[in-house]
Amino acid sequence: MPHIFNTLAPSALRRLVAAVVLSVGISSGIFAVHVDGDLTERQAVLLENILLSMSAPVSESIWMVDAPLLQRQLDAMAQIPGVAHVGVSTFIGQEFSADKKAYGGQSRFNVRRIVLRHEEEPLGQLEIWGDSDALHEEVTENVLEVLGTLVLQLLVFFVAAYLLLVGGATSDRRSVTPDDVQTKN
Amino acid sequence: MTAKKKIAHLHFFAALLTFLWVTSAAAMSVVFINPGKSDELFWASVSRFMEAAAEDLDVRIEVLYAGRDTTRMILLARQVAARAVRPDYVIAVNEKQVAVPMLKILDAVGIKTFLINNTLSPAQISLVGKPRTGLTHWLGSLVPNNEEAGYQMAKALIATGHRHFPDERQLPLIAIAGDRATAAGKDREAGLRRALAEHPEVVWKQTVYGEWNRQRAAAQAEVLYKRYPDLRLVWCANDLMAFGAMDALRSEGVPGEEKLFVGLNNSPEAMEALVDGRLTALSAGHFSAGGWALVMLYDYERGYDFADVGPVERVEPLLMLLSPNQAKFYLRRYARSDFRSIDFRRYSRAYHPELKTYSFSVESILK
Repeated sequence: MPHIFNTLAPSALRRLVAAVVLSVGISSGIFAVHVDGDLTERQAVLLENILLSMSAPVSESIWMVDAPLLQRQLDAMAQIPGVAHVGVSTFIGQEFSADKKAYGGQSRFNVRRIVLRHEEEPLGQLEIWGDSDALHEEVTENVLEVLGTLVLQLLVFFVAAYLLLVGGATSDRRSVTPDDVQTKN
Repeated sequence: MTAKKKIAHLHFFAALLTFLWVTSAAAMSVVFINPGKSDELFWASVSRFMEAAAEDLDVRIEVLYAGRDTTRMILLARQVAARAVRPDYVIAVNEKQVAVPMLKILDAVGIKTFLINNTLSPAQISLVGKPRTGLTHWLGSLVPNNEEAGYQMAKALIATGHRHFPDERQLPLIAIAGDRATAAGKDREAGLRRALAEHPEVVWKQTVYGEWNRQRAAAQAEVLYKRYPDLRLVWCANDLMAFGAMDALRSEGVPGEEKLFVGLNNSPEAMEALVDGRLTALSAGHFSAGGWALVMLYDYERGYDFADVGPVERVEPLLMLLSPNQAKFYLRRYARSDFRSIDFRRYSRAYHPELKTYSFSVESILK
């Protein structure tokens, strides 16, 4: 029995480890894609909510031609977690924008827009970009967290299995006494 | 005692009384907490006018500038209250509605106070009461007829608009008002609304708030000219904003031709603009409120309480539309804000007990 274990265990273990790594990798990938989609969708909802809640005060600032107040509003919006950039373009050619302080020149991501109006009169457009860096960070954090838990569980499982197998082999060895040998001879 | 000796004694007592009267007059001290900046034309001219009145009335005056910082206004009141030698009176302004804490600080140490140009709002009055009631040392206030000034400016603008654009049945108008908090600005805007209600042919497009600032008004006007290309009339709550609105025209037009402007203030630039026609109408005179307040306090100190000849919260017709000739006169006489040629004593009831009321007006100093 120990002989068989000694010869079969390494290859079986290698296969087992390979299978586990592969399955963990695939499931992590699937999980990452799922989390990314979920967080992107949630960020989109957040951006749309920001647009909806801020369109009235921003419209008022444009209508009242209050550029300092408008800029303060955009600056505040850009600092909301999940927002990278906010911009306003008015229909008479004015441009205002604000970026997150830590914004490193990301490309347009999760872009949402809303037309700004005063009563029925269109004034311009408010555009907001999602913070892709923050989103990817969150996805990575989520995946690493799950992966870490999984690895920890597997580690526990392997250690337990090893201890069980080694324990079994030792008891097998102990059961072969000199008397047994003599009897067999 | 001979008749000669009696007369000599009488002369002595008269001289003694006069001496006591004069020395007590010199003892009167006033601090003016000016909300503006010392290099700001309007607020500097308010101080200059007061200083001229103080010189005439032998009043010691000290002007402290808050530099348009409302927190500093309160701090200055606190510093004055904490002095070892306090002034008899403090004149202040309810700029941006911060006068209540100032009045309370000064009232607590017994300094008599008076407000000019902007007095307490009804909401503030409901908190602290009317003058001489809740805050017993708050004597009263003197504010110009801002509502009437806003109305007159609008009427003059509309009348000139009809003459200038006789073929246009409708005259589009925008307003660049001051701010939403200061009573003077709100009152002038109310005057504009009163005039607009009388002129349905004038199409009010929009009111924006220029915060009394030339650059801000210029930026706003630039947008509004694009928003309303057919605009004809521009009503501004002060001169700086009117100049800002003119600046925004740039090469696209000449002020006073395609678009008409009105403003309010006594800056030399505004007077010149009225003379050369860039300003259709100009209202001025509220720079004098501090000087007139000093006359009232001087009389009060001598037992001629202004409460005896009118309300303690006074609204006086200090603002009036100037004619180009009056503007020229002002430029000649007061361009450097030197008002020492004015005889302030002739407005004083202490000097002229026969005066039954005060009749402060800028018209009287433009003759």
